[in-house]
Amino acid sequence: MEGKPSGEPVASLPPSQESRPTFVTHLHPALVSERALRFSTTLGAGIAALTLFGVLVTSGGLLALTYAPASAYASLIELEQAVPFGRTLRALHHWSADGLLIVALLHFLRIVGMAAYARRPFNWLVGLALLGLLTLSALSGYTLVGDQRSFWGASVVAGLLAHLPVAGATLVRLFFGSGELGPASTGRLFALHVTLLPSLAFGLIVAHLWRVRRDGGLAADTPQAERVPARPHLLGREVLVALLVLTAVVALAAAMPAPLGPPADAARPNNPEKAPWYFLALQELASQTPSLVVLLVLFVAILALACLPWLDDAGGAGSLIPSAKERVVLALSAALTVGGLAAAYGAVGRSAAARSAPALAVLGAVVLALSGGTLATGRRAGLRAALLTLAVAYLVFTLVGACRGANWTLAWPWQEGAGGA
Amino acid sequence: MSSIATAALGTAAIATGAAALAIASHVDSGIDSTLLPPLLPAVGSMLFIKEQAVYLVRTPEGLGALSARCTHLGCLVRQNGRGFVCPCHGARYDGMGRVTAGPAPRDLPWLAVQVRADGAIAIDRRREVAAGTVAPLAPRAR
Repeated sequence: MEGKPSGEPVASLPPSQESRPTFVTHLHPALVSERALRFSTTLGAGIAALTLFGVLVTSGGLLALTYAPASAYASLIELEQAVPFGRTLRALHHWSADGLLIVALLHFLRIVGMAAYARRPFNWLVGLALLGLLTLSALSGYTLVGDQRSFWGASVVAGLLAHLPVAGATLVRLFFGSGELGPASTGRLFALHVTLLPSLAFGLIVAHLWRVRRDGGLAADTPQAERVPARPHLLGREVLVALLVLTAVVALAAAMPAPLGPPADAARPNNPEKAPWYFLALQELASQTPSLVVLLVLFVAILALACLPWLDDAGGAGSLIPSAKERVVLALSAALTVGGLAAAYGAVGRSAAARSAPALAVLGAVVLALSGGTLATGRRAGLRAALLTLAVAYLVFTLVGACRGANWTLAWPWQEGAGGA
Repeated sequence: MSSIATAALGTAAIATGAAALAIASHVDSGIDSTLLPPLLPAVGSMLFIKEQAVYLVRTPEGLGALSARCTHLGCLVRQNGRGFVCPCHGARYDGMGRVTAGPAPRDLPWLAVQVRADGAIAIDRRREVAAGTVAPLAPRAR
């Protein structure tokens, strides 16, 4: 407690030097740089994500009171029709999850763009693990709804997991049970969704925040003269971002209910049966790539991201704004990816033998971007170009996936039979 | 016995037609084989048996069973023109279950069908047979 003699009246201290630091105030340094305060530096992603996590835990805890894994769909209908604010509560949980995915993705892109991983490899790994937990939470969450998407989503994920060498069959039994998909498997996924995943996430969030503080906070190199007291400058902005996010997500939940498709029919998937927006790219990839290759792509992508701080040889963090030479490399990489994918999809349309062409086009673009960028401006630029290529491919696959209509033919998403994203 | 399912044609089936074709997980007694012909798919067409996730295929030679379970990631395929399409990732098969396009690694398997003396149809989901294998229908049912 700052070595303060006991008995001294607290009121005599200026408000900004509050002598009873709480856990929350301990997360803040006494002084922060003005650069770290700017919204453009952080996107407010940390506070926005924390706020959404809080909303998810709270709304999830309340939802669990009425949720029945054995009759999932019926319990959701009852929640939405008979429980006061039940519909809004589920909508709040749904839109907060979507919001958290978007915020986490933006934060991820910022960290990659600024090469902030280079100096803080530990927190980069913690962040990646959090992104993984978030993805698994979203996945297990939508399998709990009991509609068509839940059932067939779980079915496809179990099918994909079964292709994993050695551990595949065991993992499927662990997470989905040994029988057919139904109340028993929903019970397992529910347990995973409400116990292991959120508690692991909570632990890693604490580690993530603690590490930011330990590493000197945001913009650690700022000279002392350019620093201002964290309170009120930082705290005020944090409260503002939290309130804005809270307002936005509550307003959205009040205006728009969470989607609820027709009840699961184990004999007849919808046509088409589409994954939620964040998995559309993966679904599109799976629709034209052997399952083992899909797993390999995921494995290599995760491994490469985890190794990024050690692959990058430039040391310190960079700027989000690329240099002129780098901009040319990045623009060429993006154009190459889009062009390659367009040509590949053209080839698929002409010949069934070319069905893996889009996946191969992405692989080619990544290799070209990595080697071209490295030769032109160094290894960091090469890595950035390769990551941009992957991001563009993800975007293109998502858009194509959104345009898959009945019988998996391409149709505009707003056309009849295209199915919701 | 548990792996053999029997198409049991009860009185409900008479009233509501082929859609009510019931599958029991045990060998059902009291099957009225005289009900069989109007409920069978017409020659050259097929009928989806929901509980078994198979297409019952009628050819001039008899009855075959084609699994509806997509060999890609396990969704159920739908009839599309003369063939099948999977609504989850777009795998395509022809009317014999052979892969024509998309990500499916194998053809749809054909399953063993048995037409019993009393006209009941048994499909063994665990026993794969050569593509196009059909069981001859009992003379009464034909």
